[in-house]
Amino acid sequence: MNQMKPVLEMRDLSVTLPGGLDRTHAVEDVSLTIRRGEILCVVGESGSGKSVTASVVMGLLPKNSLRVAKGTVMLEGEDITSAPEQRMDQLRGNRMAMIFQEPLTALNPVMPLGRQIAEVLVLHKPGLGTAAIRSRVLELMADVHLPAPEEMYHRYPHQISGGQRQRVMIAMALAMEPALIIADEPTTALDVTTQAQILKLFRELLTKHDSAVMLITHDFGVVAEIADRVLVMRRGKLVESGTAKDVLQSPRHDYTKELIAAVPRLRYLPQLAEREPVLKAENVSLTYRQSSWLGKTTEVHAVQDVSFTLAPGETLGIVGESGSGKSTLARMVVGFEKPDRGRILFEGQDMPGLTPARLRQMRHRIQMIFQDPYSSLNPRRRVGQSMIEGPVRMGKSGAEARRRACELLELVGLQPSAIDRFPHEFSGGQRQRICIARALALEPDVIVADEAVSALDVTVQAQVLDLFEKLRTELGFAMLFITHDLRVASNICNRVAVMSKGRIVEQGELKRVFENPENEYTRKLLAAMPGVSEM
Amino acid sequence: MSSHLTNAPATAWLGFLRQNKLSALCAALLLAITVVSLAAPWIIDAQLTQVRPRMRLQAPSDLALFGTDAMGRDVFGLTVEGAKLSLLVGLLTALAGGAIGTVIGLVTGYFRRIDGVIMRIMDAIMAIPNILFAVAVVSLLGASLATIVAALVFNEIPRVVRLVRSVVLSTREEPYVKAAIGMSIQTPLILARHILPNCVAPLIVQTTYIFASAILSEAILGFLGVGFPQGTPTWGNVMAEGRAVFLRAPWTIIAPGLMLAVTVMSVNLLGDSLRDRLDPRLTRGTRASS
Repeated sequence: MNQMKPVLEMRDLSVTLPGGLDRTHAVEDVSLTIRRGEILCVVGESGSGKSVTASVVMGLLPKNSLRVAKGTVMLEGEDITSAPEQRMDQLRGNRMAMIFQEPLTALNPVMPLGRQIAEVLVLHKPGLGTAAIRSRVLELMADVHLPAPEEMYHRYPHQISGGQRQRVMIAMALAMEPALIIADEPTTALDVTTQAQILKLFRELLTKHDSAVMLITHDFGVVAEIADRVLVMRRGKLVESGTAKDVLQSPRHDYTKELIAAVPRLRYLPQLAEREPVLKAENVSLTYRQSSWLGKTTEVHAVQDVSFTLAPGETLGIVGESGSGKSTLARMVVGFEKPDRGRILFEGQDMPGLTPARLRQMRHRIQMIFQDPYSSLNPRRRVGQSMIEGPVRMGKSGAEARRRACELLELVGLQPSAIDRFPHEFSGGQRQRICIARALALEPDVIVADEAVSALDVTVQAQVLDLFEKLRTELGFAMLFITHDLRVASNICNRVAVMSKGRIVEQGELKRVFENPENEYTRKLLAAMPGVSEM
Repeated sequence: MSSHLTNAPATAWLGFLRQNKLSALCAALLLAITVVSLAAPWIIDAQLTQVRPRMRLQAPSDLALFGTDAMGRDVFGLTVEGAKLSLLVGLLTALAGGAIGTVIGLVTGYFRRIDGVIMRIMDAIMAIPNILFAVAVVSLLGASLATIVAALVFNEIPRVVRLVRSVVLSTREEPYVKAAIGMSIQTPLILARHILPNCVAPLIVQTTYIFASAILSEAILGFLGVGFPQGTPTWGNVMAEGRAVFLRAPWTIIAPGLMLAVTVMSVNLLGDSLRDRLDPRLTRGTRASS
């Protein structure tokens, strides 16, 4: 089969950027080939030009800012570099299809799923009868392992899980049996277990439908899991390419080595000696009740009967899939949400039971770091203004708070001059550093980090994790580290608690939990970790 | 999702006007109308707007640019003198309505407990036809600048409240607001520093609409005969007096009507382009992606 002409062949592709940026080309001299039945992973950090490359193939380049300067793109032997828009319309969906990162926004929220898949067929195969379309849609839904396709057909995107949405997207992409499927970070927004299932699905569909896949990712864990061949990009240039095995085991370029090294590996920190806990949760529960106007009440048990302790200087990891209740637990610990039952004791005092005035005096000692570094800083306020706000409230003078803010910025690895700049002038990783510095400015005893590194590129993720560890040893705060990524958890936590459906199903020393999991769910989570065993 | 445009200095605004010829034209027209109305005592001979029976219903000519009305008053002079009150009503209504509505909106959006009650009151106010209400208030309390503005403001408040409340509702869930709460920042400070700035852009736009609709409402009141006392030159009053002689002397209505239309349209167009400029969804630059 490999003797046939390649599905996609790209020769010396260059795409120019508009003037005034830090480089002139979004993509420079990139060549690649994908054959039938092959998965090519394009790896790189944000800004490496990997998504632009995909856009060129799909003919979706933003016309007024980016332009193909040279090179050719051949799809199944046809030159599509400068094909007219009409021809591209025919090819898109028919011969090539794209799957996006965020499956919720890529689906129409007010159209039943079945009809969205059917729409692809209606558009590209006008002759097909209603019954034929319907049976084809159900077949596709079964192909991507959506449960109960008949029932799923009439559901809406918000009624199904993120993983299922991504399956619907894949079904849509497969509808016309395209030769090439381009998947842009298809699993980045998904949980580990779902990610593993989706990756498995790609491999399965590839053999069944005899197509080729170009998968864009920043995670070498995903590469190890699924790729046949790998292409590493950096700042628009091709750095290295080869078979997955070669690149993973003997990377030639330093940058590739750096990327591979940045993939969090399992690493076990020792459990700390028993100490009087600074934070203690006792049988905490929270149930959301929603009553419809018909009087029917639906209950969501977000957190049920959760107990844990956190000693000074210790990091407790809370791991679980989305919807497991870990973020709700975090919000209760910092006081954004009150538990229905149970107590959260901070230095022996029940936080939710405090009067609002007393809570205001206490709560700054527990600080939260949020997932999205873009929205957790007020875009209209300078870094310094955001940082001194809290300490000034706590009674520090403005000058003193500002001096401390400068020190903290240096401590988290930024220039003190950052204090007078606006958040949008910084990258995601730098913003997260600012958020950490802002939290530290209040000299907290406990830091609650809710998916604090999940939105960052792997290399940046590794740097921020290192920073957390350095700060913890220097400043000695305790940390509740919430994450869905077990690899991340293993790099920072002393102990770990696994949450599922609102309950802590297993809790203990990291090494013990990871090597001898007692709970079935923990085992499932561990098995789903991408790429750890291969690397 | 938020824009950084509010940090843009004055030069950026000048650049904006330079690029948007239509907005620049509207701004220039409004500026001219304001200047002329303020300078009215110096540029309009007071005699021209006195009752002059001999000069009744003169067609536009060199002597009277826009002709004269049934009492021989110069229509151009009346229009210029009337601009002051009309613009003042618009400005005061926009400022007062915007300010009061913003405060209520901030409070009702942030403190969810009182939200239901206040919003039902706002719904009730919205159900009252605004001209009818203004007619009632003016008939009861007498026509003065204060009563007319108060009556118009009362009707505009619910729209501002709804707008501000909706912005507050979405902004209060932003992590940076949560972070401020977690740092025990006082609630008034959170509202002022973190939430209010997000309301500014839609507020500017909304107040331009209020400005335009208040000028229109004042004209309607004058036209119905319940606005400022007869004889006081406002655009509405001039048109109301011209109504009786409209067929014989159409210029009595056309001149102030044209000014009213130009002003309202300028304000509305300016509001529209301000929205385009300030709405982050419409002006968001291409965020660099890989």
